[in-house]
Amino acid sequence: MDELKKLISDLCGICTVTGSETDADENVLQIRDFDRYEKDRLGNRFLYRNSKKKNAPLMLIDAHFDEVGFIVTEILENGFVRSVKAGSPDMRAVSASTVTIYGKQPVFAVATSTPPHLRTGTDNSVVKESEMMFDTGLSEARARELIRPGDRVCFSKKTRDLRNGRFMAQGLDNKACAAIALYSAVSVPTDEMEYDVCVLLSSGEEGGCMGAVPASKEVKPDLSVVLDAGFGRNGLSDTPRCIVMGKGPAISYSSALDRALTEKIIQTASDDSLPLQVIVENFAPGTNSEFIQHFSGVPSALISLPLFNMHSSSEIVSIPDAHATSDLIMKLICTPDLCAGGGKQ
Amino acid sequence: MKNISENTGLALLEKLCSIIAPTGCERNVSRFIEDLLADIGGVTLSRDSVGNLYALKKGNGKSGLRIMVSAHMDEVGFYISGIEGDGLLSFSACGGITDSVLAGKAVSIISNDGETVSGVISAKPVHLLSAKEREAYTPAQDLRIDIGASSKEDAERYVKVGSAGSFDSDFTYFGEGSMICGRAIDDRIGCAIMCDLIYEMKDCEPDFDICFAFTTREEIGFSGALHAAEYFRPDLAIVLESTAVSDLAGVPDSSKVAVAGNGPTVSFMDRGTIYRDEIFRFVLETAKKRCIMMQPKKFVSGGNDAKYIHQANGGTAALNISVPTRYLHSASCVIAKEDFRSAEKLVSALLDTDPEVLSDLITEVRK
Repeated sequence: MDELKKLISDLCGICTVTGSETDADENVLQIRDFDRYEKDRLGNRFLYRNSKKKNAPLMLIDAHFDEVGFIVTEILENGFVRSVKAGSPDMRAVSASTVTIYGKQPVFAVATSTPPHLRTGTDNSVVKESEMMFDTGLSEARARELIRPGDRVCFSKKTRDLRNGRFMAQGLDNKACAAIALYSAVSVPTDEMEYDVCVLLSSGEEGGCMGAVPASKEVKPDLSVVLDAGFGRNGLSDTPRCIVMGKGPAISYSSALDRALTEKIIQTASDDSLPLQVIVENFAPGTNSEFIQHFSGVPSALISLPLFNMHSSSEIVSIPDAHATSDLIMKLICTPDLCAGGGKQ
Repeated sequence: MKNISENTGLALLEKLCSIIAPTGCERNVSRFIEDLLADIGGVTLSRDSVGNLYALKKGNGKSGLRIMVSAHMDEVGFYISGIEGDGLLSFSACGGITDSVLAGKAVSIISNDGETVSGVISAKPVHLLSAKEREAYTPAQDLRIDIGASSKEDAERYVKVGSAGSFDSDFTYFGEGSMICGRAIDDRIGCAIMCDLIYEMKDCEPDFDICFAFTTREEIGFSGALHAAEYFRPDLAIVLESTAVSDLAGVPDSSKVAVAGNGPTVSFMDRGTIYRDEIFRFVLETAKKRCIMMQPKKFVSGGNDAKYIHQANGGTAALNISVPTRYLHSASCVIAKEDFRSAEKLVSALLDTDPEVLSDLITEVRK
């Protein structure tokens, strides 16, 4: 398996339901390959790599590291468990899915569903959060020993290889981008780096972009490139915001982001014949990018990786797209003068 | 047999559940069972024109009774109904699958070369739905299977219109080993029980002729079983199934149907059959006498191969033994491990009935 795909797969294997990112195993984050590693009380992780340049500007590469899931609220009779959503999981995809409840030990469970044999009427309403349960197969007493309210629940961490290098997993939004950020930052030769780099694995994005602003204020970068999952374009989703899978990443023009930085990135990709789709987002794209730009005052651009089935149990990305995105990020790290201010003096 | 432990009991069930065989594509299951039973020996194997597989165990001639034990080989699944320009596949559900268990599920499609190709049932992203669209499950006709193909031509390298597949999920023990979650438990569990019984009986001659019928097309209307009953003309038919139960937290006892872990069910009535009271009681009494855990199915729901079997040949005595199964017809069917063992014991006990007792029972039913 290629290194980037393995890293994506490994990161997807970690449960980081929004608000509980601190559980992540640091061995998987490859912190040994960075010059400095820090984390804060919000669950943000900072991985620094220094260039050889004196007074090099600091590039922030943000990829949120949290994922959608559920939080246990109640243990019921016969070991059934009730929960609330953490972020916005696609509730259409929950019934009959398997999940892991991260209690005292990981507990396998099944999201309940009603088979056609026992359905009455023609109601096709999506299951309500208050009605959804997870079946642990345990006795109530044993379930209470292992699970308590507040424990996190993730869709099962299964993966599948599809055709054309497409890869299915849960949590690819945004572990795929987190892997790209880590992989790219350590793959550039030090003497080619035009920037000091801070990879920010930010917390709380799925809960409302809560981690990236305090993190970016702490880091004080000269520019930020935010990596996030974007809607893949196909016959099911074909709006101007959607991007074609298999044709590399996309960059967003948005009134909420830095136009000069966006255009320099487009020019850089063009000069190097790197694939880059261009889309237009009305107002704010709904990612960390506009928060970092708006609240931290850092020139920001958004680069998106096409993804299908966002927030479901079976997200899909293209591994060739992930490599193309990584190639672009590596190129940007080696490209001077992306930020108008020219960096720290 | 080369390795008994891998080809009996729960290990066999796991193997059977891994085979993709939606209705009309049962051949992969029947081939597997044929090979297994040929290895075990002691039965005569044959197939009919609708794909049913029969394993005939000749009796010792003491009784002229003929007993058929049956379980269906097919499972619910999907047929590819169209290949679109972007490589996505439209599909029709085969058998009763609700829209609520489709989106986001991994599937496996039998490919043009007879292998399988992985896919995912994909939907329009939830973020791009209108408020009204978010309230209802996306109907199957608006979902697509994504195998990763980049175009229609690319997809056609792997599948064609008419290709079939089903859910792709793992066979998992959970609840500290007491429960099993898996695909196609309906009705590979019945097939596994029959294979185990054939293995148990391999060196003995039963008091009756027994035909083990592995049937086709249950999920779309029981037609395989109809032919099986007409082929063997049994005096008594034992239909092995998995039955949908709803023993979830908060569900009143009257609506649970049965409870997983309390043994297999015996039915007095379902949506296809009203079982003869004498036979219903005979099963209850046999279980009680042999101290086998079992429970009456307490809700009239579902249907099974008994529907056509009990109508065949001018009326055939039939009974139904089912393993209680949560979340039936989904990627994640759930059973209690002990119910599988209890069901085996119960069917074994029924086949061990004194031939005179059984003969009297059948005479009573035919009055």
